[in-house]
Amino acid sequence: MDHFERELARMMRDAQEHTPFEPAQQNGLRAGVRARRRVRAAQKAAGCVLVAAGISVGLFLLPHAPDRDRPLGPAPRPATTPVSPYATPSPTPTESATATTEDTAGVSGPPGTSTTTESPASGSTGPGDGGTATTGAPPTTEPATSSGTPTSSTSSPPPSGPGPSSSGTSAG
Amino acid sequence: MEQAKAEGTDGFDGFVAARWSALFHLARLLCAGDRHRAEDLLQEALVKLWFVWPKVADEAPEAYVRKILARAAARSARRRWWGERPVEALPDLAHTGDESAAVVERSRLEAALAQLPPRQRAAVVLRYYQDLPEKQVAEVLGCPLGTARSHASRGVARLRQILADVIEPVG
Repeated sequence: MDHFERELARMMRDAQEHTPFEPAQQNGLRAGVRARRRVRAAQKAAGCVLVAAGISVGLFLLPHAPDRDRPLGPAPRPATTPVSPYATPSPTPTESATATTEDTAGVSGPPGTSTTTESPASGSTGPGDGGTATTGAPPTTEPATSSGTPTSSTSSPPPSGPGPSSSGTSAG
Repeated sequence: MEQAKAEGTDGFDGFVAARWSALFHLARLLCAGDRHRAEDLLQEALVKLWFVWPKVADEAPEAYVRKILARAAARSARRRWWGERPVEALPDLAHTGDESAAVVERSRLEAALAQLPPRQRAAVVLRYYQDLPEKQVAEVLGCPLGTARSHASRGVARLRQILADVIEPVG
């Protein structure tokens, strides 16, 4: 600490003058304490009000939450139903696909044995593919199936079928 | 409970009454002689002290007030412009016939302090008036030791220029 710094410290200390703690300052200090206490109380009250409002809003929304979820609640159902629809359709498409392929194959003819076994049922039920067989054949084919000649009727509708019936079905 | 509270209040009042003058002078130096601002600053610090009095009463209430004063002085000066404007030469002081040399010297000191940035002023006041070591100055100001040392040395260098005609170099 050099001379200037010592002198500076001395000046700062010498500049101090005695200032008593007057009643006005005491009152001001107490007023400041009261004001700060009031501010703190107001902050605390505001905090309590905010907490209460938050809780009440939460309680208000809470009972509605299950109702809102309830329509969505059958979440298990979508969970189970997708399994069955996906499970059942998956076989059926394959079956239908196989059936169509078999039907088409049956129409086309090459796999002979399988088409011969299914053809009586398809011929009796469906007007779908074997139109010639259903229109003209049902009355005639059932006795014919009973007689045991359906294979020839189903396998050879277009070329060897009765002429008027086949022409009528193709027109209709 | 009531007795403890009363004792606490009495202790606080006693501390304030005993240390008011010294604390007010510290606040005044930190505010570069602004009496009203110093009073507001000290009152604010004492209000804060009142709320923590049970905790700090047995330890170092004056250090607590000093820290609040120094930080508030630096902060409030940063937050608001107090009309300080650095000038090349000190303004002429009003001299009256019966004014003592001490008052003149104090006025010059306060005018010189007013030209320092608030943090430099706080560092100089804490270092030379409160006679705190640099480490404690840094702690009170809440800044690193190097920063506090820099503030103090720059402030002293500036005061050395301003007060060159008042404090003449020796030798």
